[in-house]
Amino acid sequence: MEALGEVYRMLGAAMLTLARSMLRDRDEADDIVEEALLRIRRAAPGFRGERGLRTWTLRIVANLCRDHLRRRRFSAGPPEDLDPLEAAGLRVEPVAEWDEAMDRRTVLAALERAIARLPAEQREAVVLRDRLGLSYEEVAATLGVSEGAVKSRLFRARENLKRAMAAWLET
Amino acid sequence: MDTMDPRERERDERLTRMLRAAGAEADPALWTRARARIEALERTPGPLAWLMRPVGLAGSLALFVAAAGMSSALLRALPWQQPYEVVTLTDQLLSEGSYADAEPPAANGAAPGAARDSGGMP
Repeated sequence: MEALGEVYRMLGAAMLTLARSMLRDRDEADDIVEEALLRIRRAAPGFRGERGLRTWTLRIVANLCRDHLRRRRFSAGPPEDLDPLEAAGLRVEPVAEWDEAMDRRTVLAALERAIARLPAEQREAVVLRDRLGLSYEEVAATLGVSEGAVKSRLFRARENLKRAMAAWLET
Repeated sequence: MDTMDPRERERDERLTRMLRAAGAEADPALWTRARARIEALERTPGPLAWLMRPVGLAGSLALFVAAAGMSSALLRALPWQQPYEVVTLTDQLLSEGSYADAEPPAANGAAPGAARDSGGMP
């Protein structure tokens, strides 16, 4: 149990960032992370460390998110006017190189709406690589696809996001 | 060699900064909940857990039997059942009775009951 607590202390923020960015619903995302912790506990004896703890853990979260999104496919989803950061339970991180001319919360709300419109496979790639800072190799291992597939998904995701955020990227 | 033009690179870097600027922090309440759930699961004694499986299975089976019985009763009670008895053609012919005992039809198309032709000259 202590080891699992340590895993949560080390990787809880990454697990929650991934689940909340994918599901855009704080409560559902928290349930997914809770379930992931139970699975980690059950699967721990089989952990061999080939892929690294972070990749292994995030893979469990990503798989649970995918299953959840598949089940949720026919539901209406959160309304557009809802504050997407608030609904997802994401906080604005202090970033040193932020352009002070831009209202951080407005820009990030627009960005969350754009991320929400991405197909799930592009969304998970962009969250793992750009939000959590994983390497291409780690993203590929987490998602169970080739590095080439990761690069292709990321390219398409970023092109979609650049189009959606054009007004803020040009300033 | 990097072929991206400086303007495009600037847009790319700005998007990366935006993407990094939102995240979640580990929620201690979530760990407390998960820990309590795991401990509750592990506290369930082995024999009780073993007993719960057949009890669960029997419960599911009883529900299935009850649902099947109710469906069958409902189907039998429905008004759209056929209002006549279905029989085969053979059954129908046999049930009309006289078919087997009937007189064979008269030869040469003579009407039934007509005098038989003796075969002599008129």
